[in-house]
Amino acid sequence: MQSIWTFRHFWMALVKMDLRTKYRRSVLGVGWSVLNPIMMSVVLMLGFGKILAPGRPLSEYGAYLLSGLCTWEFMRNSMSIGCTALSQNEPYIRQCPLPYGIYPLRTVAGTGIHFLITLVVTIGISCALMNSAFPLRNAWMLIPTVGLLFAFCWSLAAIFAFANAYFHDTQHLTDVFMSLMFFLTPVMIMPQADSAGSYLNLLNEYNPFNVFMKLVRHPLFYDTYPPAELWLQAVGLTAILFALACSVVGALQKKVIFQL
Amino acid sequence: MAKIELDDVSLTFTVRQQRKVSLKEYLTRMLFLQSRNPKVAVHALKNVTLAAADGDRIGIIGHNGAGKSTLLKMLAGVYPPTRGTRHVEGRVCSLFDISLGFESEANGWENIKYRAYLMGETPASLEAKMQGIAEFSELGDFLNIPVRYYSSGMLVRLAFSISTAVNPEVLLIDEVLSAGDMAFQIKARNRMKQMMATARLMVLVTHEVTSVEEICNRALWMQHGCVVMDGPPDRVVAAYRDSMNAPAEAAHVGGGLDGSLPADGDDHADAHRDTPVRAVA
Repeated sequence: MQSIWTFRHFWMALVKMDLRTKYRRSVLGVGWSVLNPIMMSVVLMLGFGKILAPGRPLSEYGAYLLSGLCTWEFMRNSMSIGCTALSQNEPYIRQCPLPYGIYPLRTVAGTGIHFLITLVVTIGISCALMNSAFPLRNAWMLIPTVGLLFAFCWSLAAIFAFANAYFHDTQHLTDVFMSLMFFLTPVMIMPQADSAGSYLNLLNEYNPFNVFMKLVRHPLFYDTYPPAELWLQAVGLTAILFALACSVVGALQKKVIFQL
Repeated sequence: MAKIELDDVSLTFTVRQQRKVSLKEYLTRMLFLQSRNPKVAVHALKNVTLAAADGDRIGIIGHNGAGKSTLLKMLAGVYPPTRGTRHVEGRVCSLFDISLGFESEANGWENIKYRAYLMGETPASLEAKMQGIAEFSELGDFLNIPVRYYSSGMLVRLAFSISTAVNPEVLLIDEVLSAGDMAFQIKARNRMKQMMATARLMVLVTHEVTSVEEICNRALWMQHGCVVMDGPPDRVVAAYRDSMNAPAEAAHVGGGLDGSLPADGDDHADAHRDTPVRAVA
């Protein structure tokens, strides 16, 4: 941790460059990246709104989709791009023995800042779609969620970065897995009151990604404070994954150079 | 105080004979099939013991594949030893693969920052050096454009200017004395001499044995990952030159993967380990 802080100027400068490069590629800059989940929400809302959220206004379903998509994209990108965290930084690894936790941090800081921008836009649009100011009023509840989500995503990125160094098809398999999980996580499917106990609801109950979706949706969509049980789940899940990631980094950081 | 201590250090790379194994292949093979892509152990360094302290200027010589660069990377902490212990004290500056690690989309100024931060500089400490680095590189307005438009010579100029702007205690150099064009090479050599004079401890890997005689006060001759001779530069260089006059030995050293042994060939490894005779002057 101390060495990660010592070299903060290095990884922070690279994060800045990553974001600048990403946003410079398009005419709309940051706008294009934000537009992506919005457009996706509009398409899904118009295409599946009547089927997946029967009896609910389309605008409400739009707000549900937006909050889900921006959280989902953060987790998915952290895992998928995190797979390349070590291979992408191989020239630095081969020059200087920096702590290996820095490289997934570079990835997650980039995807995390993008998530924060999208979250701000989501709050604004949700206010308009729900015709209420409660998403903005409840925004403070998201502060601990963002912290936990960041630690969760760093842990995922670190574990998958090391896995990809040993097995080069990890990224491909991760992408396939996350495509499947997209449909098994309520990103676009709204849980129905009459489906309690069904296999889909049971799956959602034990889906780690859904814990964070719920933490975001409680204040932004349901206008409620997330229950203590949900906080406990999120803290426990993050703590376990963080400990696992630290163990992976600690155990393999002296060996992984031979796999790159 | 700068110090290097290697105690009976060995480094073995375990590589696949053909290509890296995918997770799908690994799981399938583990469940159903025998391995068709066995592991191969490459003994890059074998039983190296080295102690150096303030004032040492060590030149490492030897044929291609002798383990010189690997030893330097181990001293830098890039490769951990697979056996033995490594202990290095002091702020280390490594000058190897200096044209590696540029962010192609960023311009010259930004790359100066990234590389300097990588070497432990802070924005405050770098500010004072920034102009000096830019002037030394002589890249002028090219520093404002992304480095992907740079020629390889320009990249080396920039890398050399940044890497040599720090004041290290332990300086590790791998064949970077031939950076850039003729005019830049003269500047580079002067800068190197300046750095060598200020660094407390220096280890230089080179094929230019005359540089070793001029700059260093101690030389190491490496072969097959072992230290064959350690002593005053004139004696070690003379012995190295004599060895090159022995055609059979030279042909053996330069051939194929140096030190490449099957994973199950530990008896081979022992045979190699016993071959070198360390002559300490």
